[in-house]
Amino acid sequence: MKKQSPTKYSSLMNRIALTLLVSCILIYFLGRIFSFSKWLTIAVGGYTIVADIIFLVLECVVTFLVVYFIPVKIFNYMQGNSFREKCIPAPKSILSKDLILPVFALGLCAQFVGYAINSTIVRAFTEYTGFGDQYEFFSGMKHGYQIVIYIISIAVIPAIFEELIFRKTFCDALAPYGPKTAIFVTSILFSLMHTSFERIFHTFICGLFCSWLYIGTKNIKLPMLLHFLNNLFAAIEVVLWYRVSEDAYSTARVVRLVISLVVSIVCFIYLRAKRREQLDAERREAKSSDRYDEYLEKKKKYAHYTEMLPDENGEEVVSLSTKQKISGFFSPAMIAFIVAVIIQMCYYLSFELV
Amino acid sequence: MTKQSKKIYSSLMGRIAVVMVANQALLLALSALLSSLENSLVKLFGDNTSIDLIFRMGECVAYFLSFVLPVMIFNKMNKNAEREIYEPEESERATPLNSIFLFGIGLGLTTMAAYVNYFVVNALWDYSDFSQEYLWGVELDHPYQVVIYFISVAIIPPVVEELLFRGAICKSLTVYGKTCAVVISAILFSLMHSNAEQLIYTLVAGVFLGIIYVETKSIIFPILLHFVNNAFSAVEQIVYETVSPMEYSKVSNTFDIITWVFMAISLVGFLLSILKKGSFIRPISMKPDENGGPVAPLSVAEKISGFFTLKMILFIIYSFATMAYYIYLSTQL
Repeated sequence: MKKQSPTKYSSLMNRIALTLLVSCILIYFLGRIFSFSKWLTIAVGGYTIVADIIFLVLECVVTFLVVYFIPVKIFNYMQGNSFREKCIPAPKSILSKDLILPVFALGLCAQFVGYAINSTIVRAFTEYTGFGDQYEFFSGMKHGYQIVIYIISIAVIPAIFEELIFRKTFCDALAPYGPKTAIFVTSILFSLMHTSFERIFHTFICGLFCSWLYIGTKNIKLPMLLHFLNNLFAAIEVVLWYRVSEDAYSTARVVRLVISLVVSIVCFIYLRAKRREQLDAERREAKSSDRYDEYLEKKKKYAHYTEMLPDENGEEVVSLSTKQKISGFFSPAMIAFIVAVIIQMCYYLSFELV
Repeated sequence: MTKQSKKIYSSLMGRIAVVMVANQALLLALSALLSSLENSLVKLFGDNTSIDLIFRMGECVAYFLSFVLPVMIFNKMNKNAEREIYEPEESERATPLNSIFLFGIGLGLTTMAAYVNYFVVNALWDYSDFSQEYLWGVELDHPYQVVIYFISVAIIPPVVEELLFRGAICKSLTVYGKTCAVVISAILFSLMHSNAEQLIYTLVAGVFLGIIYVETKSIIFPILLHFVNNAFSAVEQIVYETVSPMEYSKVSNTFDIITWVFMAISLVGFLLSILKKGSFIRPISMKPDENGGPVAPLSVAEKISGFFTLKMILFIIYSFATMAYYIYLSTQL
């Protein structure tokens, strides 16, 4: 009997955290330079369509470099030089075709319900306005083309590059430890990456569903679409706020909240009942084919483990237990990353409070 | 022919009555304790926000404890008591679509029953919803009060009430058939609220929550239905208190429209699935006993007479007395 190694797991966590730290630092410094040059241009020549488009292209390039290209290059370099886990889990996590739509709809709706809960709680206990992290991107909404630019920079670019790094790179790297680990770890990192108390919960939900869709279908376009649609709705509401009225903005939010609540409840019931039906079918099958004892024993044995494929010699492999996975997650670099993120979150909060 | 035992049935009823009395006693005692503590602290330190915050959270915890402790007592008593050995045959779960439809119908019928109950009570007495405000003290000036009000109305009660009525009582009664389990847990659920304005409506709600629990065999769906129902009324209350009565009627109409549309779709879908698959309600059929012979369930008359044990009668009298007391208080105003 072979076991997966906890050291390899925590060194993988180290590599992921280092990558994210690099990305965070780059975002911070390049973002500062970027907004400074923007401010300089505005001071010299004012807003023109040429300046706006130049800045859009620059923003695309900077986001591509900072969020995707440089971190992934660093991560792949580190991965290439380190020992990696070879045992892989049994392929059970495939999402059947009739479940893709409910999962997608639930993901889209649940994160808005989550956002409503999260922002209500944060605003109830602090005087948090929530528009803080949009000041930097914001270039005015006087002309139609500025709205298009705003939507591209808020909805399209982050959706593509964030999905590429979190889903395609990190989910694939975490795949040997089972689908649940990959989903939870990437969504925790995804929610920390947004560095805002107001978004910490709904980005976690968004991450959960994006990772679930990616791992279930191995198709990066689905989580990209989910992420894009969510950001698009948020961007449209902000546009409504600036271009139409505050009333239109709040009406749009309430309508979206109510629709999301209904849709997410329906989808949740459907998915949950479908899952139970599947488990029942499995049990009935085991009962009818005289393998019931074996089935029960297997269930008991693997309650805290991911079921793994045997290795090349045909030997049985045991995955890490949940406890080991949780303690391995808090590797030194990961703790540094979490502390850095929390400091930044508190900094933004103090900025908001003033 | 072997038969289920009436003695075990009525002893189970006795235990359930003990749990209900424990629940009511805890609710009364903890809220009295909290309010006296709060009064003395306010006298000492003046009316300040942190005392208010702590006691609003304390109310939530007290409500949580007064349901969870009885559940623990019930489980402990059941472990030591004699239990029925002859059980009905296991039935299949409702299909995923049927679960959604049951949910929609339950939501719609509960809302409808709430209106009927409200009009009946208001026609009989000039009843203001006095007991509720008296118990909860709705005061929503500050955002944190809104959040805690929402938690204390829409999140904690669904979870703990479903754990007691569906997760403990309904589950322990399923050996006597689905109908028995659903009806008895619903009656106790409506008596627990001890409020004339909610009597019929909580009965209907209880029946549907029970049906959903028994058909889907999952505690999450009744919790969700209960949550949606309470969340709608909590949001209406919040809008009434913080925005304006005009907005309140708008919000309430929106929720009603959503409920009716959802219910209509669910009814059509449910009827279609019944037409496709045949009858939904099946008679109770028992597993054979150890010799392979037939087993007879308790008859309806036995179930009803077994329900009225001494402890249960005391509990029923107590809850009707509370109800009458609240009606008396509201007519005095």
